[in-house]
Amino acid sequence: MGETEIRAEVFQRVRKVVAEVLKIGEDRITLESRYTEDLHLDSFDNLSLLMALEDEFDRSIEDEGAQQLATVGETVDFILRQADRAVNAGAAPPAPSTTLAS
Amino acid sequence: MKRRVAVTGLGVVSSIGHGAGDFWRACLAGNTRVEAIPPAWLDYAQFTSRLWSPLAEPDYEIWGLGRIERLQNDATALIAMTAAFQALEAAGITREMKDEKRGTFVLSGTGGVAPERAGISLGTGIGGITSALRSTLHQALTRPKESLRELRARLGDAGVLDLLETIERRLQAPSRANAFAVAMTMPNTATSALSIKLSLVGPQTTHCAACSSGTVAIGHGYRSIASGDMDLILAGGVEFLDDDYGAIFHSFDLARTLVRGDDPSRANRPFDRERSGFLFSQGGGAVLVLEELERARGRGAPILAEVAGFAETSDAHNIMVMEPEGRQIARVIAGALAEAGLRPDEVDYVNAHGTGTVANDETEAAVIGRIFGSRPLVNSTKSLLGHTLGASGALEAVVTVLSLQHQTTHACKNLEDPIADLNFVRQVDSHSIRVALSQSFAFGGHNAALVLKASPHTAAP
Repeated sequence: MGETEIRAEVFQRVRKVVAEVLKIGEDRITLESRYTEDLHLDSFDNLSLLMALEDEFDRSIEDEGAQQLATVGETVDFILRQADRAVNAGAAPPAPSTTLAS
Repeated sequence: MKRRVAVTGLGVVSSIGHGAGDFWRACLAGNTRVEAIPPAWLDYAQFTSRLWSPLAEPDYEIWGLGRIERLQNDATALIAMTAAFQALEAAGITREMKDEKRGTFVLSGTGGVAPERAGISLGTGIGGITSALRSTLHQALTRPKESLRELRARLGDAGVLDLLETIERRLQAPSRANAFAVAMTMPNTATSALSIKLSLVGPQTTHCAACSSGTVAIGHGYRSIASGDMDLILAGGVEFLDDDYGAIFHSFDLARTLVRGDDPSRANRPFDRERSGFLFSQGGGAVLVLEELERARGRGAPILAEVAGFAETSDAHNIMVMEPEGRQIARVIAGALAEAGLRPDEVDYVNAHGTGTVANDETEAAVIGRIFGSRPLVNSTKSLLGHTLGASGALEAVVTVLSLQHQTTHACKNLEDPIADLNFVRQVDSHSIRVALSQSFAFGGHNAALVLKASPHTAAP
């Protein structure tokens, strides 16, 4: 799977999770969507989103950087970076992979 | 003046069926779910008791409880919400969406009950213990497991590697911390979740009285309506004890309270001379809709039964042993009947605590015999479900209401050689059941009894 397809798959899964947390249609969520200004996430939603992303990608996201993510696109990149780090550290890559729980 | 209190809806999550209809059919058929304890538990301890009653997870999705809510809530809260939704639906009260994102509702069809005059009264024995265990295990074991993995990577000896691999495998812990752990581990987690979910702004009270919790919660809910303080209460009990290590089970096993033997179909036998202890249940829950009778009638609600009396006493004797003469059990029964204005000879049915332990059944049977003789029907719902601790009183109150409504009740499973000359229910038959008692006794000496009676307005089944 090429880099573009991997990014597209991660975006799809992040979009599904954001829609689930906010109970909105996936079509309202783009890579450019800003959590605060466009999607109106509050602090409770933020916690819920992190928990749901951890569940979706079956991985801990305790990194402080996760708190700073402002857009959906930044979240996708963050998850891809985490996956790269895991591969480099010799652990099984958390995502993207269609074999992971979703 | 004391107001009359009606039961208008029932909700159940149990090992033998979810929903009052399936649950009742399973009770009358004598169904049970008894299995060998998980083999993995044997890696951690030796057990005297080898049987338990696991709880199949309800289909939360059909009640609108999706992944996000399941991540945010302890299982006791999910059980409470599922049982409450069932009970409200049965009572003809609808939930209207208030906030889709938060998944919260307001109730409509209550006959004009203001949300300030609607509350929640739930009992639980150990509250959010499953979430507390998971949170602690994640914290305690995650980094040591990483260190073990690292150590294993640096060593070469095959035997040592195997040993390390075994240790690592046995250190079971959730792979992720839960940001909602604080809320999920609170004893009041289920009560609070239900209050928020249904936008009920009257008092929400959590009753922790060990195995009497469910009965105590219903009793206090009844009183708050009878006194005029509240008009509608969701009352009941919940419990869920999930534990990869079997430690909670082991605590009860060490106290020598659990069933012996390996035969799942015969080991659990309350009030039988061959009884050996209680059957540990993984959990369950029940919620009853309680309403002031006249208002409930006015809105055309199904009147399933009336709660007519309640009492509580304390043994003040021993934290784990029932006072053998049963003096405070006798007093709690007398108190509940006095509040209902009824005599012992008017009681048609006693849903006993009936755990199946040698000492408790002996004491309880003797007290029932002394007060009621052998006239009223007696059964133990724990003979079917095992012991669901803080949920048991609520599940047994549901059985009592259904028995009043259907004029029949379930048999006392595996009762072949009774310990006393009481009118134990040995098979399902038609009876005249107008007045019934549901009683619970707990570790800590909490005794509680509810008097329920058929209402002249009782809906036909």
